Amino acid sequence: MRTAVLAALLLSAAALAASVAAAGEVRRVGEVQEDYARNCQGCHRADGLGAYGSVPRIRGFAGLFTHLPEGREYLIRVPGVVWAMLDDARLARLMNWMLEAYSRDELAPDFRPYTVEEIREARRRPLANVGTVRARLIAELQRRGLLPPGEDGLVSAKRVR
Amino acid sequence: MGRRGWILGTVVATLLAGPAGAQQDIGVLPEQARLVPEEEFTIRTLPEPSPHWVYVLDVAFDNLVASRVNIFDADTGDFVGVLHSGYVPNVLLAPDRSAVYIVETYWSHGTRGKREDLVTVFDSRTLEAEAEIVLPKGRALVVSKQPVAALSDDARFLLSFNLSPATSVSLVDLGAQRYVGEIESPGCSLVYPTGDRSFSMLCPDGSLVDVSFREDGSATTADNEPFFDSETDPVFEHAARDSASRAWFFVSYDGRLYEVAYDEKGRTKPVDSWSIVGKAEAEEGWRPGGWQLVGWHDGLKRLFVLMHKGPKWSHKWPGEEVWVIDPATNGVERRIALEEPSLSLFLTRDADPLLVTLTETGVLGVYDPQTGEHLRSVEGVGVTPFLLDGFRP
Amino acid sequence: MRRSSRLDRWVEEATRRIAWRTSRRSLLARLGAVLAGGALLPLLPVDRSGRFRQAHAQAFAEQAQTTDDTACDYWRYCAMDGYLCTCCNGAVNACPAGSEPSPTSWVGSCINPADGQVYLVAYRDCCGKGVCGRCPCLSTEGEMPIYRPQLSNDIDWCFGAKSMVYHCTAAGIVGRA
Repeated sequence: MRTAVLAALLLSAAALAASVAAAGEVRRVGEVQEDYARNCQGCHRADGLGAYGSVPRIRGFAGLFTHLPEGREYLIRVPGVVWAMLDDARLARLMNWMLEAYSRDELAPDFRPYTVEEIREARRRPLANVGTVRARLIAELQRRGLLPPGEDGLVSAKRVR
Repeated sequence: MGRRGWILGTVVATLLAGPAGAQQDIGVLPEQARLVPEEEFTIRTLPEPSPHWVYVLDVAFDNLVASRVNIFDADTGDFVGVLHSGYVPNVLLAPDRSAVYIVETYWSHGTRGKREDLVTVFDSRTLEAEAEIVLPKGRALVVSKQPVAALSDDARFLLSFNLSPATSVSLVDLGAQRYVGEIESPGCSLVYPTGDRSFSMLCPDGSLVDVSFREDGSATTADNEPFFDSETDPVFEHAARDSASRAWFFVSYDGRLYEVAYDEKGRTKPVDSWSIVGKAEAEEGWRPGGWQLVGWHDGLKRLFVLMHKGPKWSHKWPGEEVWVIDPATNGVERRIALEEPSLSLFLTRDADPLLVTLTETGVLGVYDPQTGEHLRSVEGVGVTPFLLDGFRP
Repeated sequence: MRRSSRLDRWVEEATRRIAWRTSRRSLLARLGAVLAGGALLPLLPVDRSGRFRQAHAQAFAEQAQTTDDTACDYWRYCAMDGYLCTCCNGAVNACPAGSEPSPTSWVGSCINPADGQVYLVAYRDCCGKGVCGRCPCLSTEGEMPIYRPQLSNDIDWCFGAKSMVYHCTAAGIVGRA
């Protein structure tokens, strides 16, 4: 205990200098990135890769849902989106940014950005059976050849080591 | 057995076996080697569990993978027995007193290896594991809280909350001893049984979702309006239930009491609420807090709440007093000052009930719930015990 | 349909209050408090007005230090809950030997008193070893029950790790807000 305190005293001057120096180098994140960081990143990660077996990846994946009308709606009716601590306008902006940033190549050719009204309406109807709906959508995407068999965004999510 | 004894035994046995071909009958001991033990060794079987036995869940915070359930007799303070359990388990007691169900998680090599989530069925008198039912969808790994798992009112089904972090409930048929399936949820949490085939879950906006299920695991959900403010004054997870009226009592951080009644179909009726903290008490800083902080007794028809003096966000501070509340008159009937600040409380379920409290350091306090008299304290019931329960008579 | 105006109000309210502190949670660091023999005393001054979290981040920063990352008042730990990895021979952004960082985290924002800037901080559990048990930092200010999982302390957040056994918690910088 005492050793730790002494060490802390000795290190304090150097550490303070380092801390101040480091601050200048840290990049500033934009408002929408900050909304992502606060509401999504904890589980879906900054790299959008999710977590193997429990959190689906967004990157190179989420946009596929926009190929199906039910899939477009699914993305904004999942609990994580419905219960996000953002108003409808910021949530719409976040969803559109997220799809563009992490999954542009997978978006449907005729994809139109989500509107605030669409978000507001969908949030009133949180999905009660996310897993079932998701499985159906994944099967349909596979049937259409948009997803290889066995790929569901969970098996290909971030795996530790 | 000592290692040396084992080696010696092996050597002797080898010598006795003699050269090949010279087989001896080793089934018959020479007369002079026949030792008749003075005392036979047996295994104790417990009597029918007393309603005053308290099942103390020790989550063992220093070694979470090896929790345990210590059983103590609140009448005498005597140790009754122990059940060993896995990572942040839930303990449920069969209404017919036959079994202790432990919902638990193990890794095949202690802290690593293959994860297995299961319901273990222990015989309540032999304390032996009679059956294991694997939960293929896992379970929520949360510092043990009671509403993470529950029994249906008829005790045929066990419901176990999942958080992956998507939320759902695993349904286990205890009659057939098999996992039935997963009931999905719109992002709501925990399990509050409301009938034989129904339960409710708490949603992020302060509403309950009512779930009805069938034996095959199919289910329907019904939404309700929020009944509390989940932003400014959330209700605690631990709630108490009146078995007769089947109403659930939820208490909020600031001391608002919500009585949630249900119809026969398990649908929430409009909610009644009032504050258990009067203006004077609020000014003194009284508020509910602890872990398993509320209890109910069916015969006394009273609610018991752990209360302490503290600021906002002191919701995990141990209680200095137990307030006894009569929901019929919406009044605080009695305030019981505790010998030691306590984290959890439990009312034995018999007609001659005891109020049992639990401190952070593993001391049980036993009180007469009707007079508030401190009857005894029992020390050393666990290292970091959190939850209390006991069988019905 | 339900949740029309109610949800809107809830979201509005939540957005306002949540501005400083979004996802935080972790195992309850109770054992340390028990071993220390203390009641669970508040680590920080508590703001009784509604705008708790804003006040909390500011109040935290006012009392925070920037030199000792093995103490609960180190500036990055404004939304910390768990045993500090820095006390378990890990580092502020490294897991101790033999444990692994959870792929998932929770994100809060803290003010660095050295430069007055707001930083987004990702709190990450290190998993796959038993509880480290050193330097518990348990802050219940703004803590919510587990039906608000992002804001609850009592959930093991080792989702996606090889083993979900909880060891300690570290705090890495995401960026400047």
